[in-house]
Amino acid sequence: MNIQFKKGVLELCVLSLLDRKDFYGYELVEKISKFVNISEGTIYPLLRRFRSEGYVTTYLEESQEGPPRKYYSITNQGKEAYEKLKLEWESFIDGVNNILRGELI
Amino acid sequence: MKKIEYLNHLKTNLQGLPNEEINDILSDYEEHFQIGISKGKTEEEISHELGDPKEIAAGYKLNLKSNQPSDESTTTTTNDNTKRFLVALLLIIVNVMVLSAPVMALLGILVGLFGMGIGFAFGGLGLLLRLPFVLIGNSPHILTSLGLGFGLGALGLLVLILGAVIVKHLIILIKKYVKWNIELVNR
Repeated sequence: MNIQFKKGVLELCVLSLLDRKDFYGYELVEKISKFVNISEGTIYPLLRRFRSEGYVTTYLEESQEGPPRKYYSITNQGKEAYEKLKLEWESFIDGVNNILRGELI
Repeated sequence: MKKIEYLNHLKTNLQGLPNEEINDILSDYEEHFQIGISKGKTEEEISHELGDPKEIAAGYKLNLKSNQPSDESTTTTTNDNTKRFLVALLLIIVNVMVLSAPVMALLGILVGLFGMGIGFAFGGLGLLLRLPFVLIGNSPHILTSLGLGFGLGALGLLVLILGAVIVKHLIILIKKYVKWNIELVNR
């Protein structure tokens, strides 16, 4: 699949999951790759960019097994970006589906 | 690829970024390996799932170069154009199929109205022009002819004025509708 396209979709998936609860990196990767075929490593650069853009914040939390984990938490700014992306995505999908199904009305 | 190998590859490809950031990035992947191993995966499996370290490093470097290139704006414009096209198509269909019948009917009524107005006005005029002959003939119907002539003429003028007023408002309405259509497409 087209890389740029996939990147945009990945952003939407990450924001969507974080909108529901905080995740640590591995968990996020696991959840997404369960549904979408991706190179799992590409999620971490994305998360870093989200942090520099102020969409997410991070904090460390102890885990029962092994060292503390880095958790990602969505900010209000991130939520706004998510809503916007989601609307864009939905209208895009609607448009494409209309064309694919030949329903031009 | 073993974990150490993978992280080394990543580190090499991340050169150029601040050392602090490189270490921070590597710690994210270290954590990923650790959790994966604790869930029973092998280092090779995890390396494979993560993907080419060169590509991942490129992803970080792309972040650095102006947060996002222009690719996002192009997707939104194509998206907008698709939507605009669909809205325009929908409007054309609605305008042709739904609105054409009532508009035609209205046009017919207006033509009828003007015809009636003109007919009345000329009828009245004709009656008035006939007046001299009526006078000569000493007919008892002078008052009737006079009244009918003026009445018919006035009624004709009234109908014509009414028609003009309707046309004026109709034009305003049509202008508004066309403007609304254009706005809908451009939204």
